[in-house]
Amino acid sequence: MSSAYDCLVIGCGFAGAVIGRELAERAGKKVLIIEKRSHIGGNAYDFTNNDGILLHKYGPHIFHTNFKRVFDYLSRFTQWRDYSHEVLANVYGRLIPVPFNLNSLYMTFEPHKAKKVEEKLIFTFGLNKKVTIGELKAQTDDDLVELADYVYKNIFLYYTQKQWGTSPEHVDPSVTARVPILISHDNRYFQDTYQGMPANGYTSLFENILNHPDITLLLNYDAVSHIKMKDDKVFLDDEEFTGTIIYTGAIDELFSCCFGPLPYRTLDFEFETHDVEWYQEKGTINYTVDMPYTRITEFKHLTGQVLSNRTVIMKEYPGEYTGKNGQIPYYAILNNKNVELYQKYKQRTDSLNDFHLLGRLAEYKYYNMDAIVERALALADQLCCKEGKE
Amino acid sequence: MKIVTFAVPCYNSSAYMKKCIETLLPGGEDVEIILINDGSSDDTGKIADEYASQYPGLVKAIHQENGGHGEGVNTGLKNASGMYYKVVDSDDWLDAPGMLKVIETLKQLINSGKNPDMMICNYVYEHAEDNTRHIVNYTNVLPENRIFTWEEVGSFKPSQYLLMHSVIYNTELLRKSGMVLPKHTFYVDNIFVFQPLPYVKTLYYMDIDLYRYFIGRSDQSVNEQVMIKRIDQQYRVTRIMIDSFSQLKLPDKKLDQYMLNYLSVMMAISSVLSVISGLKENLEKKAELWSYLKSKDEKLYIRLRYHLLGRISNLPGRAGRKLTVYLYRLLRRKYKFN
Ligand SMILES: Cc1cc2nc3c(=O)[nH]c(=O)nc-3n(C[C@H](O)[C@H](O)[C@H](O)COP(=O)(O)OP(=O)(O)OC[C@H]3O[C@@H](n4cnc5c(N)ncnc54)[C@H](O)[C@@H]3O)c2cc1C
Repeated sequence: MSSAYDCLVIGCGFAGAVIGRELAERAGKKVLIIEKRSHIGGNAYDFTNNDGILLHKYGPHIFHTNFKRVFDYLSRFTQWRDYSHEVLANVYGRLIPVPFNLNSLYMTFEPHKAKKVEEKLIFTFGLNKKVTIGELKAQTDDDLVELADYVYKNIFLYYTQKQWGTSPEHVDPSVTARVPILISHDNRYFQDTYQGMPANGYTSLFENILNHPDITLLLNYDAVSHIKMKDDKVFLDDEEFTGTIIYTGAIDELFSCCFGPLPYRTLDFEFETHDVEWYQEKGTINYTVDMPYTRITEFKHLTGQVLSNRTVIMKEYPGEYTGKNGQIPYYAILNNKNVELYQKYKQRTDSLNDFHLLGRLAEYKYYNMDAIVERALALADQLCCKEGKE
Repeated sequence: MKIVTFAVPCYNSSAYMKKCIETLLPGGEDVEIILINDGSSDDTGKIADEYASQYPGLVKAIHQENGGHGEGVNTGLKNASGMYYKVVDSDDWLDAPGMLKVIETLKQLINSGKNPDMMICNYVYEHAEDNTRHIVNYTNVLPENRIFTWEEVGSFKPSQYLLMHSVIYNTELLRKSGMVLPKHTFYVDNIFVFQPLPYVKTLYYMDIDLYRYFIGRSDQSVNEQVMIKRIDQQYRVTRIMIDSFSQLKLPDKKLDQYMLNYLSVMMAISSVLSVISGLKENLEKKAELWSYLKSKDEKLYIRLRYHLLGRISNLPGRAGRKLTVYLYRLLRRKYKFN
């Protein structure tokens, strides 16, 4: 079957679907996408459960971006429901907005103190700025350091320990940086220009992206079973594949983990149905000082579904990824050792002809959805351009 | 609703069944995959159970006492919930994109209420030895991508006869035909593509290289010596085919001719194998077969006797027998009919 296709895409998440569409549409290629799961969409997949409630199977996904190109591109395939995500942290029963912002400040400290700290924050960093805990801690002002300590202890520490299974010092700064303090009264979790949810869900968005006559999609088709590498050649079902290959799966699996597996954190999702209209007041509540799970998400807030007597929530339990059957690698654990290991695998692909790594697994990185779409479009630019010159 | 049931009879197939199953999985919700573990002594049963638990609603595992390939096909048919039924042997596999096209087409046909009794696609011999392939297609005998009846069918070369690999039957039709394959018998696939044919009124052909038929290195079940050893089973199958064809008055001339030709090849193979074996008892069996046919349906007997292959396989005398063998080998090379 190989010879019938110009391009082989492995994985059908955002990376695979977008690059597949681009190659088919812009470069006029016949594209074969193989996906090991029984559905499209990768981790952004959503589905309607037996009670008729739309759920995100692999954790809550909220779209947000500052890339106009990405927003415009995806808008070809979906309409949007306006939604600004808000997250609260449950700190000993008190619910305060996160990222920690000026509203949180007033809920945490008595008004006089809060006012003082607010002024100092604005004076030091400016209104509507984002500062990380690290930056705050580095200040000499006692009030600011106290605030940093409070946020560190009550919002950041235990949550991060649960998430990463380590103390925060062992977490890469890029991760810490993702938990900012916001000098603003804006309670939204993201401040991006464009944010919302695909009006008919992510799966429908993916169906539209994939709806192109030159795209063939095989589900339940695991590259590990169907792709073999030999002497810098790639074989699909025993036939050499000489066209363009885009790999969006885990890179170590491509080489049977020959240098050892790349470490990941995984998540266990526990869904619960409750016979009430609402379970909690916002989409997500983080449990930053207690509970074994990191957060609870109630999907109806995100999806806008109207249902008077039923709701579904999901608890997230982080854990170590062991590669066991059914476990999914969610978050790359970024440190020097792991990145070096990643480089070793990556080098093995350097000698392959027209072979490209794309996506959070293949690049061993954290990408937001918009970021990976942007990457996929950029790779498509490059591939289509190259084609044009020939 | 399941569009197609794929039945995969597995006997000690642990070494290769995964490849076969993996090519069927992309069928997703539209298909049902029934793995029939035919009393294997290796890990076949375990592998089947693993797939069944990993893909509930898609893969079913059924364990049975060893009953042979035919019994596996019977079990699959009994348990099939798909509108169509296709047997895929565990050492063979399907071209997955081709399969999706066939399913899509069947779905549309079902939706429009024009579902054919039988879907036909190409099959490919995959030679393990030299990694070459040989495609058998029907573009010269069947109209493509539309419903047709036997009337429109051209004349098949013997190398083109419909094999288990090329057909997908309507499941209900197979059940109605009453076909039950004998246990512990080789060559039952001939019955599978013969006995139900009179029930088939509408056909549909897609020029897609769907079925990949694996021809291994050593255990090629169709070489001459092996066939001679299993000559009794060849006879058993031929008799069952005689039973189902004799006294039939088929209104479709083309179908009648096709079935006659097919039976004629079966008679010829039986006869010639007897001759090649050089054993007296086998020559007696050959005579018995022909007289069995005569007793069942004299007209059919006459038709077959004077049919080209019938004539070749029954040349009189010792010299005639030698000539028979020679012609058979020549024909076989030309037509690759077994
Ligand atoms: C819990 C959680 C919440 C998130 N929330 C957000 C959010 O709110 N907003 C946001 O922008 N981003 C969010 N993300 C990030 C988002 O999920 C990623 O940006 C996106 O999934 C990346 O797409 P991808 O195609 O690179 O990877 P994936 O979506 O993981 O897709 C990769 C695909 O490849 C397939 N695959 C892997 N190996 C093979 C193989 N061997 N053979 C065949 N197929 C294979 C996989 O099954 C998968 O379908 C979140 C991530 C997680 C884990």
